[in-house]
Amino acid sequence: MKFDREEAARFHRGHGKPPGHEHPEHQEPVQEARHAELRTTAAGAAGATDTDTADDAGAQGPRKAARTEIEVRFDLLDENRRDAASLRERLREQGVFAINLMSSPGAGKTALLEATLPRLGAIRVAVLEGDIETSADAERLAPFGVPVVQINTGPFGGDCHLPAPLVADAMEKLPLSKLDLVFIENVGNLVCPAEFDLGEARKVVLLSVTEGEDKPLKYPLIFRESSLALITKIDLLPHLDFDLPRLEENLRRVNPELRVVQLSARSGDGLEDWLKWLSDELGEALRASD
Amino acid sequence: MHEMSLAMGLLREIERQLKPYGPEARATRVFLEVGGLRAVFPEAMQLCFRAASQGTVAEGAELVIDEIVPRGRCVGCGREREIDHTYFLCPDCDLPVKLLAGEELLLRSIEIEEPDPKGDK
Ligand SMILES: Nc1nc2c(ncn2[C@@H]2O[C@H](COP(=O)(O)OP(=O)(O)O)[C@@H](O)[C@H]2O)c(=O)[nH]1
Ligand SMILES: [Mg+2]
Ligand SMILES: [Zn+2]
Repeated sequence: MKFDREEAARFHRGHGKPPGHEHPEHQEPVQEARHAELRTTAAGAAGATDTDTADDAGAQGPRKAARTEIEVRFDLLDENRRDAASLRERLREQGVFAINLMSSPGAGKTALLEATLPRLGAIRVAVLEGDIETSADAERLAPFGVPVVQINTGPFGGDCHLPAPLVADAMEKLPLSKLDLVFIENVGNLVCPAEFDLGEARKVVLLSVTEGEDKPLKYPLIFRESSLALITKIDLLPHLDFDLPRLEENLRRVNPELRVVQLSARSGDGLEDWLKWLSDELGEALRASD
Repeated sequence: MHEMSLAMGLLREIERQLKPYGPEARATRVFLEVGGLRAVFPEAMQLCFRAASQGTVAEGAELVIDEIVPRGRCVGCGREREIDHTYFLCPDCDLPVKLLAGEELLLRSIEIEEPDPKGDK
């Protein structure tokens, strides 16, 4: 799909701006307003417009046609949500805690895994790698001797996120009954992965200090969907003009409940905070399933 | 863009909905609600819908996108108001705002065109 993401983001930023919005009726609960709109628009009335539209629809020669509006109320995310819900149930039964790692490309997801895998002690872990083009990340993780399954999104028309069914299939390639934790490295993108529930227990978003402090305001959804934000590559801070307090304030604006941890996979700074969060969440999940 | 996979799901549902109306029924307008908090861009959705609808019952149909303004209620003062999609704190209390609207991604209705049901063809 050829589409200018910057253009789209710029447009999208205009979304929530209330002034001048052309749908004041939606201040009422939206469900109420819409029944009134449902009506037969041109039930076979012998008007010229009917004939025209019948032609457009590909009929041979003029004919009468009836137009009816039917109410549907189909949530476009439901399909994926249902798949995610059954995967979540399956993982719960197996006692597997799944973490969906999301970020823009290069924020340090694979580096975080490289730093994390050797430090997990007795926790039995596996990784699903959602890189589109290559299996480079899976190869980087091979030395750690944990199961790694590569997910290829290419053949499914989507190249920007992992959908739940692909993740569910990949999970079945893992020895789930022998695992405690599965990391899902999502495709590098701050927009699309935010929309797709993968049946994970927690979503974690990574943001490196080489990206802007305003990223949370540009891509609020991913920060709203996540339980934890990892500010990565803090070893680079001395070389940058990065305003950490402003980033933290922006994170709080879009998600007042978001936990924030700063770390460097390179220097190891902050890794204990991340591992502490991980073992707290994992411990909680294990206790809950007893 | 994830709009393509959303558009494909949308078209599967449109085809399902039109099935009972027979092989000649066509969707002429498709009404979608998109909340301002969703990472779904109307332009991208339009493009993907046009591409994905080729050869389906909705080919050439108009996609009407209704953008829903986000609204929320402060957990502190209880005041309800429109909210900026990047600001989920009450400007008065600095407390979190509970969402009431803005997360929709809904195929609301479909306008269907059938040949005259009386068989005048
Ligand atoms: N300086 C520094 N570089 C890092 C750190 N983490 C990752 N990188 C580098 O950033 C680049 C992208 O990292 P990678 O883990 O592949 O990002 P991913 O695309 O999110 O998986 C690589 O060149 C890494 O070596 C870090 O903590 N500090
Ligand atoms: Mg990677
Ligand atoms: Zn308030």
